[in-house]
Amino acid sequence: MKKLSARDFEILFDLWREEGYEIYGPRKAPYGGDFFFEKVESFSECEFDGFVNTLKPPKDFFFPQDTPTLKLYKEKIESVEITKKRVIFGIRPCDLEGLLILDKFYLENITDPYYRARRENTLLVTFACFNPLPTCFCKEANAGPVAKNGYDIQVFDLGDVFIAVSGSKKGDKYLTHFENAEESLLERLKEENKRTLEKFSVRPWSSQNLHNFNITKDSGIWRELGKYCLKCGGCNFLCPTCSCFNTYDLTFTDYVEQRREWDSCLLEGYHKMAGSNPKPDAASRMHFRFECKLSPEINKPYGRISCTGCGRCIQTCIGDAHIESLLILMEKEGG
Amino acid sequence: MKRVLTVCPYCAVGCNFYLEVEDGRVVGLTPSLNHPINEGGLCIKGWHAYQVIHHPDRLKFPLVKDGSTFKQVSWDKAISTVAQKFLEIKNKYGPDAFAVIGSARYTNEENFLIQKFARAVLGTNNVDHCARICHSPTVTGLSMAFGSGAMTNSIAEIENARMLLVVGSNTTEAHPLIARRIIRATKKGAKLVVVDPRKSDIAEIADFHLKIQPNSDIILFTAMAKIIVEHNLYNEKFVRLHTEGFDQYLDFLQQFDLSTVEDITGVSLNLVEKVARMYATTSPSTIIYCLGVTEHLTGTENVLSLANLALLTGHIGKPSTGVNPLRGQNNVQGASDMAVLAEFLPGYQKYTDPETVRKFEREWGVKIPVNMGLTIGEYPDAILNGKIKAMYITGEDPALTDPDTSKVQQALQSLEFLVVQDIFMTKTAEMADVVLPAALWAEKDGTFTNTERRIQRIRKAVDPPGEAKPDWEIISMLAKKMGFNWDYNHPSEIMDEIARLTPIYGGVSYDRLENGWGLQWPVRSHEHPGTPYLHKDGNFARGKGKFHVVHYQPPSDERNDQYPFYLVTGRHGFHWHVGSMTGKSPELVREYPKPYVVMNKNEAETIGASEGMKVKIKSRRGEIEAFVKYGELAPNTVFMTLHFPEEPVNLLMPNTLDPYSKMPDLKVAAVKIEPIKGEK
Amino acid sequence: MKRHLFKPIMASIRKIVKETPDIKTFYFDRSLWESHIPGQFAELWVPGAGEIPLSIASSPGENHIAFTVKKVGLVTSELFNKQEGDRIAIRGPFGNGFPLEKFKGKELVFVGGGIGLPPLMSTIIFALNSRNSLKGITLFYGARTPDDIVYKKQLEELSKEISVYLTVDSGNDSWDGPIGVVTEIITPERVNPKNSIAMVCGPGIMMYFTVKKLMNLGFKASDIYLSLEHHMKCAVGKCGHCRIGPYYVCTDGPVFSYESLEEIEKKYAGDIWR
Repeated sequence: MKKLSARDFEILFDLWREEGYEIYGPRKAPYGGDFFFEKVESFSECEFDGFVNTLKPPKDFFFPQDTPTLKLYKEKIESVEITKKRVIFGIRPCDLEGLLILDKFYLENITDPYYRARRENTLLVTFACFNPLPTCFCKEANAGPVAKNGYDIQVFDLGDVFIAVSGSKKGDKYLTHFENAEESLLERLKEENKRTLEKFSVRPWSSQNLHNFNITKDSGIWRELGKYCLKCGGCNFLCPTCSCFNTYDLTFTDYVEQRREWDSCLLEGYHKMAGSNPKPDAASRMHFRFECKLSPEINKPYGRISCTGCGRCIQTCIGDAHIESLLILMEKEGG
Repeated sequence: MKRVLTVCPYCAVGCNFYLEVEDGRVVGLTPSLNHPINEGGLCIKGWHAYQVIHHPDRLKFPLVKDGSTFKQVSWDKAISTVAQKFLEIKNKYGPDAFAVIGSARYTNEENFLIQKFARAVLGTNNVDHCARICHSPTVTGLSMAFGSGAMTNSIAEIENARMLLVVGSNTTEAHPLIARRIIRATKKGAKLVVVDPRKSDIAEIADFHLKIQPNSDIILFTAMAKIIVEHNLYNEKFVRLHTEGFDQYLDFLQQFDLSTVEDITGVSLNLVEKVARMYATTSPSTIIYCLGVTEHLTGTENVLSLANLALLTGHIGKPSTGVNPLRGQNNVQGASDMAVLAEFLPGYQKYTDPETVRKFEREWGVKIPVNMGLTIGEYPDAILNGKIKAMYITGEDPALTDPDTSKVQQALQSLEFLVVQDIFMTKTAEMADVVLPAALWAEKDGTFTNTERRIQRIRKAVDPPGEAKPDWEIISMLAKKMGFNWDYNHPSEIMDEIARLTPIYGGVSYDRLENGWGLQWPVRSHEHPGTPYLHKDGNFARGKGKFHVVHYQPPSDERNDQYPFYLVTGRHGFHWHVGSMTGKSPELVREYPKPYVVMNKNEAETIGASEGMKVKIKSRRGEIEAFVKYGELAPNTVFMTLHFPEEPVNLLMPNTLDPYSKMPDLKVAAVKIEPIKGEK
Repeated sequence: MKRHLFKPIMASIRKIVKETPDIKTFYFDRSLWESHIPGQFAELWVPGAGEIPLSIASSPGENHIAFTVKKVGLVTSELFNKQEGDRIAIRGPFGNGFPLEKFKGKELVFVGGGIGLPPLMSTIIFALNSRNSLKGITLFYGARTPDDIVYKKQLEELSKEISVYLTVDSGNDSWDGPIGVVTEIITPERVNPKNSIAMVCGPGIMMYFTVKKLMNLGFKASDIYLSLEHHMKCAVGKCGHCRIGPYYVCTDGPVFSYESLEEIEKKYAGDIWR
């Protein structure tokens, strides 16, 4: 555990820029004031005041909303693999955990070259949380407020001073020259972390429901939720672990592009095939989505559920048919 | 990556999202969490709104018709051609030989310039836009009843109502972010009643669904009013202090025969009474309505029958109450406010008032016409009769979207000169003599006014493709070429002019719109904070609220043995109108790739059809084909959306005008349906 | 030499054969890939229209690579507009193919319906060319009408070497064969459940009833293999569309033993049988 000051971070930023990294830190967007990761040149440009999390999850860096994958010029087919060298500075533990799940999904077995090109040279500097929102439940989802692994550096922002811990060889390299944090500071951190756990809103459901999902497809819960799904796709688009995409073509004057865009399994068209419509009702699609997120069997490869408690689906859902509504219904049914 | 906060180009809820710009291209978007309208939510159309921007089919260069094909020309050539031809026609036939169609999707500034162009440059009041065929009865009706033709309350207030009467609105699909407020209200315990011939998604979550026969609303709401009066549930004090015309209305109610209700509407009197009591005795109660109420022969009177209920119960002039029309297009409210309408000057001022006329003539330095102009529904006949020789159509596709479409197409073809300004080569553009490429909403600055009268900034994120220009620039160039000194450097200057001339926009300026969440009109002065709800505490815009006696008429295109079904048209949640923009998003097209007609299962079987089978749908005006889908509707009623230009449903719909608002009654047509052998 | 799984290569359509009013077979040069296992599929990209998964209809030993396509939507319609010599893009082969290693010493029973015949045909031809270790091959095939029978000529030729039983849902004047669903022509004396491998491919409902019939006749679930024709898009298990429970049809399939499906059938019957 090292002790760092704002000045020390400026040094790190300089070092990263020298090494050719683009650094992305949290900033408020103009006019609306919502937080996003923007390219920054210095630590002082990052806005941590009032920052809990970004609107869009960081999966956007590696799996963009809409991007070309193939370009066909007359006869030549080009695979559009965009390599980047980036530091994601300020990623939260819930999003980091989500990213690790996406990594396993996209890189293991068959490696997706488009994801890999964007993901390879990425430095992850996670900032542990001390001020959860009412919609946050990383605590129950076992994904925060402190990251367990997967980061290069984890930072604890105590206001007047920072504590940084390395999680990888790269992290070691960057932190070697800084002072060690003294015992009293580490005590202070322990206190802060304990206090943070108490700041989470009391949830009207037990975390048992989250980790022992076993609701069958024909349960009335799905019909109840499905009634309120307005098929906006928001939950899938903003979820840090949703990875489904649709491919489509776009024809320009001199070339044809094959593109990849975020898809939503709550849309009927996602499931339709020539001659059959296996999930014509919102209830069955609700089940499909939550099974994907919570079923222990389907999530075996990740060693955890695919929900990290970031709360974005709760914020965006138009019809109130998000994961918390499900957990509350499960609670009502008897857990 | 640049993030530009702007307003969604689809519906009039006016959700805000950030367009994400990288290297001069929009690569995605995210809904704003802080914004009070959508609070982080966005419907599936909004999520795909960016896909139109860089589409390869965008018009990039001005085009002039050469024989039967288009030739690319310079802006100079295009503008000179149009200016010259317009001046020629004006001199030869007079100013009323022109008709201008403005766009409900353009900014307020652009719509202001369009009507200024029609009135100051061309000299005609023949300027109109598609609000005529959707909410013109709202503007007329609510003006008659309250003095102001707009949504009385705000979107956020809806979730605090305790009773919601939703009429003729497929809210979850047409206005999803308003449906969110309704759902929140119901989850807090509010009662929801939905009135619709079809069991739409919102009807599924309602406490009561009144599956009425098309256009029998007047009977239903008058019955409710009578029941409320008979059981002494009306707000006597409110009626006494804040309304007029109650005596005639009371007479009318007393003569109204409740025994006809069930036969005409198809709803049991018992249920009507239940709903009437609920509406009258719950507080606050709100009425939310949409095109199921307005797009009829008696559209204005339908709106008045709803206004009567609000006046009777005093559920108006307070938060979470009121009569709330859900406007359609992203800026149809603004286009109406800016008077791209034949009978108004900006801000619903009348050119029958000499003071107002003088004010405008002083500002514009030219005489403006004071004779009543023609409306959209009247254009086709006027063209075919030789009265109108030239048209300037901006941001609209009447050849596909107007009712009695074959007549419209015939009329457009016969024009001497047609100029179309748009972003894609639409069906109307194909018929034009000159096509001017326009920038779309992400490529210009300006303002949109949403359904709750909120004026919001849209912000330029990227440059338009090729040589396309923002519409306000194009119209200014045209005016200048025709000899008028229009010298606007930025839309904010146009807004300043609007504020000078339009009392309800009087305090609006780009400074005030720069930060924050916009201003709700009326904004009477620079200090005025805007108005979340109208007619506060019974102080109506016209003084007192007025009751109106209303008269029931069945749909003009009546059912008979030959045409036994009523076809009702509407929207679904994945497409926007004829799909010129949503058709560019593969995930939206994927949902409903083929045109479909929704029928009751038993009725489909009676005519020998089943789900998935292709059928022919014939009305007195034309025929189209679609696939059958089962649903739940009022007896002998079927439903189809307008989203499939290859089978344009408006081909079938009538064009008889509501006398008050000149609204064509294009909601209902009598049709017959025949299965097509061997097609599935 | 498995090509880049994500980047297709351009290929010329060598020959087009019209099989039925709405089914055509497209032939390509065999150099597209080194070899494939019968039952595998490939992704055909018609640039401007889209990309679709298609079972490989030809057998690995043949000197061409063929796909038999039914015109059902936008991409297939665009493909049907192509002429011989036109170029499209192809990547593959994908999926697992039929379990060739289990064929030795067994009788092979193929049951096909409609456009489900091509992957079975690929396997039949492959099996014929390694006949010595097989005990016998039988094909049961059902089409909607006699005009909708795919590979009419090849089936005639094949019937000289293997047992071919055909049926149609509705006949015509020149049809003198059986009329009915394909399960009706699978009779006990025509199959040997104790020593066979059954392979089924066709519309979901047809496969459902065929499996039932085969089980009733005494086949073991582990000896029945199905080729699921699901909504596959990326073919590499990433886009999510073909997921059924814990399986991705494109990478864990498209060939599944009924035994493995039986385990998840209770929860996912609707998805398996569509």
